[in-house]
Amino acid sequence: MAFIERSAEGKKIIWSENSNRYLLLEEHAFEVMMRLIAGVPDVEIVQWCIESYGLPHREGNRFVGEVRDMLNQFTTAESGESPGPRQNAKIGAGRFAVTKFYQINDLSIRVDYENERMKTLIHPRFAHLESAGLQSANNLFQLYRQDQEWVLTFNGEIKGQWNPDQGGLVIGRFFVELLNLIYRKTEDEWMAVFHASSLSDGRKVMLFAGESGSGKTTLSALMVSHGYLLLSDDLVPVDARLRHAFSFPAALSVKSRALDLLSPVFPGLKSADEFFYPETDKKVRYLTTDGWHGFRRINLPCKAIVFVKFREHSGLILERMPKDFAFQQLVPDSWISPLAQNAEKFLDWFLSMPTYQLTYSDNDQMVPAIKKLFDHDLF
Amino acid sequence: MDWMKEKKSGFDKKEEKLLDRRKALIKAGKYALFTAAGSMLLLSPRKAVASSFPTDPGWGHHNNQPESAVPSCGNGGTSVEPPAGNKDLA
Repeated sequence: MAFIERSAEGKKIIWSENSNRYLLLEEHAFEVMMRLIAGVPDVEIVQWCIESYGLPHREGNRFVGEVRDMLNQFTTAESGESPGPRQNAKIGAGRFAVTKFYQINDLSIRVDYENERMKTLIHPRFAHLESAGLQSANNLFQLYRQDQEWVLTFNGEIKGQWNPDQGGLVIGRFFVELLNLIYRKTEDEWMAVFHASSLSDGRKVMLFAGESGSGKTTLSALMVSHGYLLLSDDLVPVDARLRHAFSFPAALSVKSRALDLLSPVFPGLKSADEFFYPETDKKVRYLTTDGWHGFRRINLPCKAIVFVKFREHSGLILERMPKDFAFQQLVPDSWISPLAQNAEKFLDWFLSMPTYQLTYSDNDQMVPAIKKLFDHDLF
Repeated sequence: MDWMKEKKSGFDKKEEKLLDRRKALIKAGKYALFTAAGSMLLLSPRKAVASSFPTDPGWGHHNNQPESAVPSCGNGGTSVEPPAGNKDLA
């Protein structure tokens, strides 16, 4: 079994190749874990705990048992969320009522949607790239249902098959395929795709992470209106070779509660189509700016990760976030390459990255704070 | 594995440091820290890239109407509200 270990804020991080999982440990648990991994007999480890920490035998025995249970869990691959095609998937099983053509610089792309409802999953995010004049394209995506499941194909190859409630994974797969197409890369060449937005001052990129509804998109749109460049919204790809963040041409999704704030800055929002999502009771409009119609392939080094939280009446609180805490926030929401060399790069990249927590309610304070963060390291 | 060997050979050097830590842990309530919940956190990254955008417009909210009955995206400020209904795909 292969492991990678690193230190962060007095704690330890271990990665298991078997499971592609990360374990964050206090140092005393790490010491026990490493002995278990090295094959030291339990009885010796218990004795070591007794001598090193003064634990009673019973407590030492229990603790070593708990660490062993964790080791088993840690090194066992999880099941579920499987994006792969199952055996019953058939290419060409769909009939397509809607076809759209998109132009992304030199790339022509055709997407066949089985019906209008499927179109609303992907098209609104790329409508600004639609090319009505195109009659054919070199790249073909097809999205259809088979046996009550989503199926996505690309150039005749099935890329995934998902349950009805896994629309986020369908979009995610489409994102990856399009990303690979735009940058002529394979999945193995990406270090990670983070659930975040990314902004640049032209030299470096800052990642803005946080839960859905935390204000990332609103913050990003406001910063764009102050001259910053949006590289991507919702999903931020970082490659393994350069460890740079890459741009991606999906539109920003603006929720209805941000409309009043953003409409004066982006007047087009007022007349944009609004999509209602009953399951989450959200109304969303998709925002692009003129600059995004000519998509630019950009990749730049990252400067920091900022965890964003919009909280009423909080004013502005910008503080350094401890690495171990930031790690807990970032990992569960990210796709991180399962390849050992990429996982190692991710750990080193993350540990070299300043991490901040930004809690805000006042945009007039938020904008200069982000500018300052771009221009200087605050802590 | 090399890194494991390094760890093993480094154990003795850490003894002194651990003794200091022992005193600190005893003060802090040592048994609470010597539990899985108090000392370890398992984190699983996503197995696949997933968007957090809402993903349910019209999908599964269609009560067997023909496709033409499903509202499509209108022009200029049109609100697209699929009919409520079951969550089946068909």
